[in-house]
Amino acid sequence: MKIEETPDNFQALDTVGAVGNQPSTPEGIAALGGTEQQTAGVTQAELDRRAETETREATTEGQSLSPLQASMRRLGRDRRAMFFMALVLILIVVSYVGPLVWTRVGPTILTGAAGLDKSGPASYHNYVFEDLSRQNANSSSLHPFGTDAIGRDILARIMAGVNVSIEVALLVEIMDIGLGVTIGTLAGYYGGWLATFLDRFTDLMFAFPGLLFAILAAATLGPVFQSRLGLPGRLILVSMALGISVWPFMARLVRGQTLQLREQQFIEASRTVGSSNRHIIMSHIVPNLFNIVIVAATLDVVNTIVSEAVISLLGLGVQTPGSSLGLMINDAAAVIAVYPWEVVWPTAVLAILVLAFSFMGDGVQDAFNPRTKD
Amino acid sequence: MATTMPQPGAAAPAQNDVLVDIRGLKVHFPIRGGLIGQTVAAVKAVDGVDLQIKRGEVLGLVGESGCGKSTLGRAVLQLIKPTAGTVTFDGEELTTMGTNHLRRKRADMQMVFQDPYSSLDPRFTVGNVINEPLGNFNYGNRAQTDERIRYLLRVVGMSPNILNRYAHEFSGGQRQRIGIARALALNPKFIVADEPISALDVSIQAQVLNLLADLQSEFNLTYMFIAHNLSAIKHLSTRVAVMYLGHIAEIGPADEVYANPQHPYTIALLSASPYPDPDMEKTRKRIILTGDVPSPVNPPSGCPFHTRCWKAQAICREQYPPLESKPGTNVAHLAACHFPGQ
Repeated sequence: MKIEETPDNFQALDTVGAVGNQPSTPEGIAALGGTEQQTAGVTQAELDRRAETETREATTEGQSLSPLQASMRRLGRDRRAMFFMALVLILIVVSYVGPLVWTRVGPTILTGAAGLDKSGPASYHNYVFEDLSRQNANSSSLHPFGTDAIGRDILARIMAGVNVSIEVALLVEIMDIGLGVTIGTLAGYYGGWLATFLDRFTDLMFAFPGLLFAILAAATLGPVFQSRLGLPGRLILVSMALGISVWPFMARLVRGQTLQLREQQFIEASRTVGSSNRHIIMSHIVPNLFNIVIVAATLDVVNTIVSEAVISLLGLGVQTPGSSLGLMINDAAAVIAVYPWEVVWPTAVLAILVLAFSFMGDGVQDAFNPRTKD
Repeated sequence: MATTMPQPGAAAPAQNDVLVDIRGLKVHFPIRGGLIGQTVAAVKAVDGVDLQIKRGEVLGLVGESGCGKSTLGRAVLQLIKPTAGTVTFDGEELTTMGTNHLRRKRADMQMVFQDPYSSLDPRFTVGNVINEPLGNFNYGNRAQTDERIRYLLRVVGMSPNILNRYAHEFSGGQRQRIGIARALALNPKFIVADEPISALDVSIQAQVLNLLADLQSEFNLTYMFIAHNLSAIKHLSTRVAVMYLGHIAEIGPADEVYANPQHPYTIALLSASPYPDPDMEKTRKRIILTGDVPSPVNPPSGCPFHTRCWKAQAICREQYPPLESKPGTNVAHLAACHFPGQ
């Protein structure tokens, strides 16, 4: 008795992937669905015997954990990482949902330099609203963190500032991962001029600090971007400048890993079974890069947030009336001797944000880095 | 049997008998250096090999590490582009074949890899691994593919229940079976087995070897079986080729080569295998080769083995000995030596 395993359309094999018509069917492929199968093959009894004798160890049916699931499980067990991940999520949610609530909470009060204008929370809890009757106000139920030198609510400005940090981090990481993985993979897999270009460009970026590059870009092109794109223009510029300065490092990391992966026998095996380069890159190389990319990207967020704050601190990033943690620290530093809490709040939030991302990154590294498998 | 007279013309088998015809194959890996990265030298991994593999035979290819046997196997499958020479597979020339045509042709020629750990992608389930060739060649719909995968797993002695498991959960022998199932998926005619058992436990080696032997007859396969150890392939091979430093030193029917080795290198290799019989083992005379394998970057002149050969004379340093049938041996038994025999 023979195993029936010859689908009729296996003949379709002949036309797949062929350039030019090949009327003479290669016998081997034809044989897949053809007559040879009748003579070549294994009897049912023989199959049963083999199945019984050879695999006693692993006959339990079921789905095992994928590498990603295993990593997520490790991450889930890391209590410190989970705590800081929760903190990051809370900060993000509060900074985006918070303003919606905050601008609806509070009584109608009198504002303005003369204290005669009636304003609701939609105005005085907006991060750009200047209440000149309440400059450098102390903490109160109206302004829990107080107000700054021109009477803006510090809590609202912090939430807007965290938004900026998150958005810049997101934009930079999209660029970092997009460019870094694409170019790094191609340079690692194909080598050639792309690899040479990557090497030289990375050397350049090593020699020329990324932050300095971003500062120069922000200083020279900032006014242009602002006039063309409005206030978000500077945000985009800073993100692009930071993105340009970080992607070569990601690309170099990815290239190294790709070089290592390329020598693995499963790549050669994939080529042997008729895979194209594209298929090999997409289904063998890129998925195996996932771990190192996710770890590098998470840890990179920390640098990005600090860099954005530094650029804004120098007055080259987000411009007033926009808000950014760096800009707030800069503004508050002018009155630090008199109203020290104004500098404390944004600094503390920046520190918490950076630490939370940093500890989360450590946890992600432990969970995803294959060498720390326990 | 060892005294068959040479018969002119009998050495060249009829063309349709030959599945793989290798002529003058060379694989040189360039070494770049100097100011502008020019090629300063080359590792001559395979340096002029002529070899015919007949349909349905098992050609054992032996030689020590670095002699170019794996490179030869890969060059035959065009996984490495040969520097020179031709490889004709089933009447079609592979070295000049276009990329797409070659990819299609790959269905007929497969490889079983040495390292069962690195030859399976850690992110692929067993089902994914075996599905890859089927997917590349649009085998059929999901149910048909699934049926085929389950069939292949049973063929190699694995339970079809393991489809959704990842390779890291299996032992070396089991992984090697999965790799064999992948190689069988497209019903190939020819399989290059690159030291398929050398990374396995001794107890598992025999199982995998037996499986490969069974599959050969069940699927009418032709093998090129690469090993670094003559005894490993003794009971599987119909013919044996011994490689040394990129050249074939000796080739012939397996029992001929084992019984009546002509090339001193083969004699030395055979003397290194222990006999299973303790009485015979006592009388075994071991030939210890002195010195190291010369560098394939700068191979010795003449016979590449002369630096380590106890029979070497002046002519060995000057002339490369042709690979030819020696007096008193089977016509199909060829050796490249000026002073053949014991």
